[in-house]
Amino acid sequence: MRRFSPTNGQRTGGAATTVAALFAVGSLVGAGVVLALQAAVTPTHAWAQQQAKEEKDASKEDRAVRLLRRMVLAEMRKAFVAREATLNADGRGTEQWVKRDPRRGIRRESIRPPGMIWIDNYRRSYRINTRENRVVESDSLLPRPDGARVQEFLHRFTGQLITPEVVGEDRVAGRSAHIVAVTGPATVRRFWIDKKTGLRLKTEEYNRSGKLLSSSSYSSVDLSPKFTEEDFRPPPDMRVVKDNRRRFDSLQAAEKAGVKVARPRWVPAGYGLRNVEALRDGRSVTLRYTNGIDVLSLTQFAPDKAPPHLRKRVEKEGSSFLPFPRGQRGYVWRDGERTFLLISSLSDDQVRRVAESLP
Amino acid sequence: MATMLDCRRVQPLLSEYVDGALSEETAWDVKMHVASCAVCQRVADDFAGTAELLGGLAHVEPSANFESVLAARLADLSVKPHRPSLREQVSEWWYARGSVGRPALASAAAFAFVVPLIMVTLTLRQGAVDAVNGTAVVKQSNAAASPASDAEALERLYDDHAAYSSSLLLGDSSAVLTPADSRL
Repeated sequence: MRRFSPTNGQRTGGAATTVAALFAVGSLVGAGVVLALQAAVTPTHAWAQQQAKEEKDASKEDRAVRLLRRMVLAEMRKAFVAREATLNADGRGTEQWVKRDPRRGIRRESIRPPGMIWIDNYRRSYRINTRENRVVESDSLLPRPDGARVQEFLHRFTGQLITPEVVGEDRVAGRSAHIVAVTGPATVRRFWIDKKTGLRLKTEEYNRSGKLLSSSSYSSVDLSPKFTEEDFRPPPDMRVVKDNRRRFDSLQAAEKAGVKVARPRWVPAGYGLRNVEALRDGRSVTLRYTNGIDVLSLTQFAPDKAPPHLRKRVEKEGSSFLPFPRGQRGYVWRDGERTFLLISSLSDDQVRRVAESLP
Repeated sequence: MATMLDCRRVQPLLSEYVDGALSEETAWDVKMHVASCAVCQRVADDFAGTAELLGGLAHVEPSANFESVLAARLADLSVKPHRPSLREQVSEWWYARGSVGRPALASAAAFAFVVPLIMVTLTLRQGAVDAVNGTAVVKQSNAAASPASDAEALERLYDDHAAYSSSLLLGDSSAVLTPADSRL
């Protein structure tokens, strides 16, 4: 409709209409373009939620790995003395002093019941029985305080069967701690990590059905301890017994040294061979596999060289399970003249599958 | 017994377990159960305490001539005529050897005593080393093994497993002080 100005009688309605129309069309096109672009770059709602969750999980996992790395490094680099209590599922427990000197090593001394000391000074390991005045000396078991190795080890967690997760906060020995749960195929281990120092204040281990297998917790921590050299040496008047094992880092190295051993064709996913230990007289060889938190020890005895207890058990009952502490079980079986013992926390099916896979 | 025994089956065995009278396999199963059961541990400790008390009592032996005196009293008879004691017989025999025979015999006896003593000492020392190193496990296969040493061989296998677990970066080194030994 055409309209006329009351003052000059000129036509003004056409321009206004054109502007309005252009504006309307422009708005529609603009909205369309914006919507099209948004549709192109924005994922669907469900996908977006999944992605957000994954990002959050990754961030949580990263945080858990960071805390674990801090814990491992703190244990290697900080000096402390702690009083520790351990508890098994049945309520029975022990108490011990833990002395850690980054330079000298670690000393654990039982308080209740007394009589056991373990010293490891990065070079040698000493298991001391004060009641029998005896020391068993062997190679060091401690990992070297090597940050690169820690980084490499913890990096393996990403995308592996072992998943770490921060699950909460708590107080232990009067100190604030993060709780990190590390879930493996057979066990779940929870660590209480000191917020200030990164030290592990408490550890709990569960099987996959949720049963508590063991717990160890510091009741007091001294972060300014005084140590002497004697703390990390065995007492001088003890009878020292040398370990008679040879240790190899790989099967090839063991075979090169003349050690004959059968290797299982199957072990559970995530497990790798870490160590071969052979008695010098060739009477038994043990393969140790680990996935980072669980260990599987497979011992092969030469013909007629198994402990009589195991031989009689396997002769009487065939293959069978034996109980061991902290949720570990032994499985003993015989194949021809050879006797085998597998100690692990694997399920029955997995244990049998490992046994059946031996050549 | 393939699996861990429960309390009802273990408790009747505890007295024999404490006395070391069980078979090796049963003793191991009982030991593992006791290590993980506070109730049975307490009962076993009670048995062990009782055994220790009984062991501490003086052992009364009847006198050497108890039976003859008793027989004499019962029969209302007088004691038989004196017979030389073993000591008197040995003494008489010894002095009959003369001044040359006595030193010769003493030297031979000393030699015969010292040589076996040295051999036994060396054997025991080697045995102790073998037990710690694990080689005693094999020696037992040729001789009657005692349940304690057999259990020690198994405990050593478990201790090594636990020690290796402790050495992992995320391992719990408290495991090295909680071996299979039920004393801990």
